[in-house]
Parts: sequence; structure tokens; C-alpha cells
Amino acid sequence: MPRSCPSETPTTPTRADGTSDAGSDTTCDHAFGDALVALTPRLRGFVRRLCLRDDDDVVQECLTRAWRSRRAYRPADGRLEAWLLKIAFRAYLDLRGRRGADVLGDDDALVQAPADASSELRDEVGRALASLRAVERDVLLRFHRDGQSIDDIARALLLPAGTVKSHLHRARGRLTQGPS
Amino acid sequence: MSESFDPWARVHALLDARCDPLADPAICAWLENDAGALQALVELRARLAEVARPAERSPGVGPAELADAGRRQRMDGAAAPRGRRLRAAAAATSLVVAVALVWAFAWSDRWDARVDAVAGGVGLSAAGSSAATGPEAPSNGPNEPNPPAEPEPLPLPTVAVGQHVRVFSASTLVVGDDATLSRSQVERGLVRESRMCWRRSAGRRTSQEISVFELDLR
Repeated sequence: MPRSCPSETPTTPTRADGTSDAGSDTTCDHAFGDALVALTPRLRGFVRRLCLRDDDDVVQECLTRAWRSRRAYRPADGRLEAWLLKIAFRAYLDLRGRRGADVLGDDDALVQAPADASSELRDEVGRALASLRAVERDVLLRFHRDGQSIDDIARALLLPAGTVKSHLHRARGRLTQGPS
Repeated sequence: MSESFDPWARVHALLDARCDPLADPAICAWLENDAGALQALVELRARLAEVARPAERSPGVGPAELADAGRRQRMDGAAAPRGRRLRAAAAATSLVVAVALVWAFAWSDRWDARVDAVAGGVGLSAAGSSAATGPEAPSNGPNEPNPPAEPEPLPLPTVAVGQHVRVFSASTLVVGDDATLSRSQVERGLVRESRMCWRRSAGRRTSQEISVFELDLR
């Protein structure tokens, strides 16, 4: 099987038939390991948002799977980070299934997200909310923060339910495309 | 996946129904093939969860929303504030009890030490004065036993090539029985190469065993 080093790291020359000797394997493994270590903070941030708090099991499972699959990684398939995040997502789904769909229930693996990470997300959300139109922000907060139904919001704002849904969907779309 | 499948419309429909989009198999299959959509949906989900956090107000919310929330709180009555007050009182009580227990244990240690010293025939004069001395002004005479020394920090482990390292929790690598590697050491690349031999699940706990080939304690 041809060997491929991650694109973020220096590549190791391989033979014409695609094989490589043990020395280049080791070099490539070291480069791959370095790239994984460098991406770990980014991976941890992604997992924090995926699991809605820190989950070390997902991070570790992802790194372990990535290391085991390092021979299968092809830089042509995309960036190592995107490849790693897909593995993290699969690990999250597997662990969630194993935990009985209660991914937030294992206190041994979950630790509270650092305060700066929480405040960072809070600031981002605050900026995104501030960038919404007033009616969109109102609908979004009523639905997601206050738990009001679409019909209740429609009655309160004297709007058709379809219009409320449109505002809600647009607000969600802008929530991740805000100034942050 | 059919041509008519609009994943984002399905995401919104699921959110409208207050369902987790990541619990939907079709959405998961879509996300596993689209890293950009995966990051976008994860970000949206995290931000919506932050919006829904009940205890803290998100900055950037206008005064109208704050006033609206205040009205709702008044309409809800004083149950929530009273609950917060009760929780605060319970926390304060727990703190006081904990401090008292720590103080009592400290005092009982000193008391036991003095009793032992008396029973051993050394420091007979301390028998009568120990109770009056109190924990705030402990005498530290020559016959008093020294307080237990702080345990020395465990040395960094030396891991041989091929040694098995069992991961009991994701935050700590336990090497043998008496030494640990912190997660930050792993993140900083101190554990250079590892491979997983097997993993198993015991109830809700997940254990892994990996074999470490090289440990670079820089």
C-alpha cells in the first residue's frame, strides 16, 4: 500500500512501486504524529462543541483511530484536519451509541469545559445574536431559549406560523454566519 | 441519497421538532461525507445550546428581551429565586460543615498524637495541657511527633519499549500502579508512538490498553 505523509508535514520519498523502506515509514510516522499533536487543540475544540462540553474519550478515541489508520490517509482526499474531524464525528456517534444515546452521562470522561472556552462561545453567540434582525432574534430566543412553540410565537407576534418558521430558519442560518 | 433530499431543510425540521439532528441517520450519513457541513452543523448546534442555557444571559441581547424576561420571571412567581436562595444556603451550609470536619480531623490527629505520646511514657506533662492548648496554638515540643510529611511527588515513569499502558480514564495514563502521565504530556508529544491493542467496554466505563513503543521525556 502506498505511503502518504500528511500534507502539513514534509513528505517522505517513496519508491516507484509505491513501497517505502522502514526508515521512511518511521520518518513518515513521526511526521504524522507531529501533525496529530499539532491538531489536537483544534480537535479538542471541535469535540467540545460536538459534545457540548469536553469529552476526553472522544478525543482519545479519535486520535487512536487516526493513528491506526495513518496508512490509509491520502492527502489527496483532503486536509488532515477535515479527515480528523470526520473520525471524531464517527467516534462520537459510536460512543454515544455505546452509552445508550446519553453522551452527556459519563462523568468520568466528561469534564467541564474551560471557562475561557465557555466565555468564548458565549461571546460568539452574543455577537451573532446582535447581528440578527430584531424579529429574527425575538423568534429565535422565544423558540430556543424560552421553549415557546411556533404557534405560540405566531400568536404573540401576530404573524403567520409560516412566517415565524421562515424567521426562525433564517436566524439559525445567520447564527453561524455572524460577525464572529 | 435521493436527489430530493435537502439536508439543511431536514435539519431545520428536526430542530423545529426539538430533535437532535445528530440523532438522525440520514443527517449523520450526509455529515460523514461533508466535513464543511459537519463543522457548520456542529457550530450551529453548539450555539443553539448556548442560546438555550437558562442560567446566564447571553451578551448582545437587547433590553427588550431582558425586560421581557423580567416580566416572565415575575409572572412565574418567586419560585425560581427562592430555589436559587435555597441552593445558595445549602452550598454555604455544606461549606461550613466541610470546614468544621477538616478542623475536627486536624484536631483529632493532634489529640491522638498527644495520647500516644502519653501512653508511650514520653511527654507526661503534655497530658493535662493538651486540651487547653487547642488546635490554634499547638505546642511543638521536642517530644511531639512531627506532622506527617507531604508525600513526595511520584517520579516520572520510565516506560520500556513494548510496555503496556492501560488507560483507565482519558485524562490520565496510568503506568503500572504508582506513576501517571498527565494528558498534557501526551498532548505535548511526550508519548511519541502508541498503538491500541484492544479496547473493551465495561458498563459505561471504557477501558483501553495500548502499547507504548517510545516515550520521549523532553
